[in-house]
Amino acid sequence: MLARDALGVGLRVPHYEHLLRERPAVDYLELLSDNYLVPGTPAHGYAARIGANYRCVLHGVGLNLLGSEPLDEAYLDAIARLADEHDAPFVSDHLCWSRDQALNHHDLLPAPFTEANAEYAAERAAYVQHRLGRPFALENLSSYVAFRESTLAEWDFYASVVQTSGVWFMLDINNVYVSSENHDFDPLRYLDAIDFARVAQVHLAGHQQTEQGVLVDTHDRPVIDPVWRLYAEAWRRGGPFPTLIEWDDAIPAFDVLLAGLEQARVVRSA
Amino acid sequence: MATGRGETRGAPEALRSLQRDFTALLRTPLATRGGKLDAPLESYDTGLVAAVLDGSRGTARERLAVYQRQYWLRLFTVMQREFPLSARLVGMYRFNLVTQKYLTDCPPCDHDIGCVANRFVPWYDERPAAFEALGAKVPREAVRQALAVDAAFRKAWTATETPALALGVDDAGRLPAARLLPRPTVSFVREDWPFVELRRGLQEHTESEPLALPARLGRTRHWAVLRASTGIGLARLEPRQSRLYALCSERPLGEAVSRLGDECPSAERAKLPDRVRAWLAHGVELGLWQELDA
Repeated sequence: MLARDALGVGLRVPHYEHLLRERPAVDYLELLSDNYLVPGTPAHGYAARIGANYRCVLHGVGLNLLGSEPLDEAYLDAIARLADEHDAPFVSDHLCWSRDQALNHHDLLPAPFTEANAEYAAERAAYVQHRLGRPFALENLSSYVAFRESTLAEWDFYASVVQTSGVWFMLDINNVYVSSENHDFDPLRYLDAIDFARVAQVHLAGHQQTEQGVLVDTHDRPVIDPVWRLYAEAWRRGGPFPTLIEWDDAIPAFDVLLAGLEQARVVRSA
Repeated sequence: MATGRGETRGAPEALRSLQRDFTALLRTPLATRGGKLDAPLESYDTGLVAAVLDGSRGTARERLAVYQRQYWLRLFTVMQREFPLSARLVGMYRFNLVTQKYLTDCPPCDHDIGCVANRFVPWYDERPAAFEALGAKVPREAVRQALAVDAAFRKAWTATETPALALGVDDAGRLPAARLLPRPTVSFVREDWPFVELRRGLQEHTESEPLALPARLGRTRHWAVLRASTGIGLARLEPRQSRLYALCSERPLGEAVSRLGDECPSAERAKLPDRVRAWLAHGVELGLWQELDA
């Protein structure tokens, strides 16, 4: 596992050469697994070269845990190979669905919070962790719809899946905040449900607000103050835990990411 | 708990049904309104709308629309990134309209979102007037060549690499009966507008302003586009050299050379053997071919 107080950033294309050339000090990198699955591609080569200098964890978007289709065994094989190549301390993906009818929607889509769906997700999550042979963590979503069919609070659904399956929390604090605003709940109630001893990692990121007022998880700007305050509260309740800054669009210079990590240090030492 | 390969149970029926309806909503093309693309909220399936709660930050329809817009905008962004020259030549709005038609016919299936662009060029080749139908002022042949240049650049960057052909002393006798296959990262393109250099200039830029069609070249130019250690490599080819490379990927080298000789005016034939040797050596040096297929 990583050091419990480790601070990391997501590996992104604009930073490849900087990481190779300058080797900036960062505790670990998170590889977006789906981008590095094919040996012989430049992306796979860069990950190998950069990964030789840094501890790396894997974070995927293609598992389709809550999808109706059977889990994709070839995809799991590829993830397992990549995890072996980087000796990843853990692998994570999302508590969502992303495919249906053999079509990949390339989005993290929500499902109703029901006991039946929680049992279904837990069984598949346990299977994934067993298949990968290393800790597997599930990330909570930012969501923009709530379903009439839901019978559980989101945090109870999430905790149930993690506890029943024996996997780990990949707790995204920005997603907790975004969903709390979109669905009018108290984000502290969300934190109440988290067993911080089972948190493999925490994510922080920026988000936007649409013209209609819905908050959307965009990863294209700095973390806002209310999210930092929620992070501080999570740290107070359950720290230390590894923390990672995500930035996927309008990606700034690496120093901006390092400044975000420094802010995380300040927030949690306050 | 399941522990074996593929032993998990089936999804709850309610979840399956919801995902079918949600998938249909995502894949519904955006509507054109006042020169913009937007979510057609009024057309949403009433059953799915009824399954979603209204909230303080929007009605069920408005909330579902966030996902539908994201689905299309994400794919448009990928297509613009993979075909930046073509997109900027025809204009982003027209490009998005055409790619929406393409993505309706060929929706994404692969885990790698970049693969969504894989079938665009063959799809366009079957619909050569797709952009013209939308009022694009760029000639059909220019669009076709721009797409080929974009496709060559993305292939050079994304294809799985294989070892380059290295000719040994023992290979000389095998060459005439061998076919020279380009490595997966290599493409040969021809241009009547200076698109290759224009495309290279777009590498580091993310602007989306339209590009003016450059002046047509006085004569057709030929290029090899390949992966280089520093990124994308370009090699300008002589017309006969390009023709030789095309011929020798289709038939044994001996036949290709003979065919090339037949196509040359008699004044060129005497010098052809030396030029062929030089072109082949150049190709090997560039790492254009993957193996001998005797």
